[in-house]
Amino acid sequence: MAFIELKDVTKEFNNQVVLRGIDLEIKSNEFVTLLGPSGCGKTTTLRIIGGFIEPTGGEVLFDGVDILKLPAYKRPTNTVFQRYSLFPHLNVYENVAFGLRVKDQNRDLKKEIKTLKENHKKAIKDLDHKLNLDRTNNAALKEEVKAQKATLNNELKKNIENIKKQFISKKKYEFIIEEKVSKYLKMVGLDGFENRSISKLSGGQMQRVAIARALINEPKVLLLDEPLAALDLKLRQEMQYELKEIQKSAGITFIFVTHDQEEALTMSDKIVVMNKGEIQQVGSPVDIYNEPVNRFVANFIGESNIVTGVMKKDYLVSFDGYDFECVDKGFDENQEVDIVLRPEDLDIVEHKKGKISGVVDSVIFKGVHFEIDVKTEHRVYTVHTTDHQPEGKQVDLDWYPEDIHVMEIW
Amino acid sequence: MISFPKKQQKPKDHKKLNFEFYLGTPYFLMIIALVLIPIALMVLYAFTTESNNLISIRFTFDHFKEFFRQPTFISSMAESIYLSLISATICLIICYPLAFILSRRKLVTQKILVSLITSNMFINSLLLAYAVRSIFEIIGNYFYGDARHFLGTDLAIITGMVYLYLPFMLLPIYTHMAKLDKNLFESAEDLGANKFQTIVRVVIPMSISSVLTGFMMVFLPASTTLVITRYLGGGQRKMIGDLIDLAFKSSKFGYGAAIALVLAVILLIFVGLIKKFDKYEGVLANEE
Repeated sequence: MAFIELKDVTKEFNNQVVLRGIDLEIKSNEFVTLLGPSGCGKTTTLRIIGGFIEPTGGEVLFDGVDILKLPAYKRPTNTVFQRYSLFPHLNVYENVAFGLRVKDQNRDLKKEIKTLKENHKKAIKDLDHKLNLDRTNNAALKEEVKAQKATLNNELKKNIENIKKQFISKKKYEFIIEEKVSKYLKMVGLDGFENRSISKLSGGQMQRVAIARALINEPKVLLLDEPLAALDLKLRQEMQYELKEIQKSAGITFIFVTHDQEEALTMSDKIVVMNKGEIQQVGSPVDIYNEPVNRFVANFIGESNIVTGVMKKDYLVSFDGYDFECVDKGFDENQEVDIVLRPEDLDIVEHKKGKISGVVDSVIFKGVHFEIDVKTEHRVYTVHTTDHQPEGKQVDLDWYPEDIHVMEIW
Repeated sequence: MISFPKKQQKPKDHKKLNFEFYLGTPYFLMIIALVLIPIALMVLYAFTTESNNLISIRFTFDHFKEFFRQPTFISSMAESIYLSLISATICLIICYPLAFILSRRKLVTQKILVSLITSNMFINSLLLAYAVRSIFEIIGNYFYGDARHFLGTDLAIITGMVYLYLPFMLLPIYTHMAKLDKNLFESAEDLGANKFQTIVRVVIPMSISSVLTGFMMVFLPASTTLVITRYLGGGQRKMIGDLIDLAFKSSKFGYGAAIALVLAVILLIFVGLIKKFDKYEGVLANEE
């Protein structure tokens, strides 16, 4: 069963639709990424789950229970904010300890006492009721009820005392806090920074404090709102692995918002691609990359050559004036389609030996590979290859049938 | 050939410093003319006997002795400080929640309400004190048949002080609150703090310095006020401002200066004590 479920969630700001009908299921312990360009509604979705925004319509279920009525502080979620929002008046230690300090250490026990007292009240009431029903003014019954009440009272006292013995004292709780804070600071690699003031931290350190602060409450879900956006490339890559590692070891569901497709592909179990307040595609990174459902997804995730063509019949697609074999089926005959050819799937071969012929238009060295634009009769194809080709050379493009990915036009 | 190391960097720095120094000259002059010389004169007056001849100046502690010998004067000083402390506290109790509530309204609402609340700063304080007095006179006349019933009571004086100095408390607190990062409230809530805990653990520690500023802004002028006692004291409550006023009116400059000096020292002690409470700055100062 899905752990978190969004059902037809919509949101309007000043009559402007920001989210339209978001349906999403998230399993527990999943690393889910909401991916999309800025303004696509991904942060809004996250804030709705976190409880900072109320949706205009729809339901948000946790374990099948609607949580929209719960205020943010009662939800089993914690958030790492985009700009961290660390408390500037507290040092690193106190920032991380904040979640523990606002919690009543004896909350569960106090609840127990409350239910005990309620039960006791009920029992006494029942006895009184019994006595009231008796119209004979039976002295023996009166005595009996009295005795029963006394035992009930004694029992209650004893039970409450027993529970109170389990209460954690302030001193002890302080000790627990210290233990936990140092555990989580170690987890994010910040041990020894306890007394540092927030203003003296670098971006990466602040981000780690924010993560430790959110994790210390042991949330079931951690919401991350572009937490790596402010970091430099090297640090960002490092943090990506660390986040993934934390997610695996802590066994927490992560919902991660980003506009960086590479980040999404690296970390996620499941990617939700969004655009203009709608979910475009949900799937594993491999699915999303290899089988984009439409032009937007194909363009947003990685680079691609997108060509419009016609699906002649199953396994045969026509574009650029030729018919090509492919592995897609299930379209109408002669249906107009978008075709994706990833640059790294295209090969440059000698003239007359490939599928489409063209001329090498430009060659750019990208480090790992060359980015070569090949000008053909109808369009320019981008090819990623490790083989250098001289500019102006007459070449052919070649690919395997499974490299063609056919999409419906949205 | 012998080459000498060129000292280019240093003279340049020096020049720049000079320029900045000259830029500040008018202000230094102003401070000397308006702050240092008057204080020096006040100290001089306080410690010397009165004479018209500069050469025949004699130093003396007589003015201070005279002041401390009169128990009524000391009690009126204690009273001034006591009343203004209470007024400042009441102002704080009113303004702190008010500033918090204000800072969470829409921007337009904030602007309108703040300018309304601070509008009595635009009105002459004599008028304000007179207005408060009239109201007390009406109430006294109506309920007790005596227009002067309330005049001179703690109630009247504190009401007047609170009314006059409320904006001085509100403005610093409100300005600080409006600048507080709203995201911090969100992150506190996210970490499990309810509204009350957010206020206690985030809002108050972060705004404590503005509270202290506001407190001083009310406490200091209130303790030396002349207007309030003149109109609401009913002629019975002599506060320290009146004493200084009286001394100068009867040309006892040395005596007046001595009282003012004693008051200034006491207020300075209070300011120092208040500053000690500034935890937020303390945290920053203790960092590694």
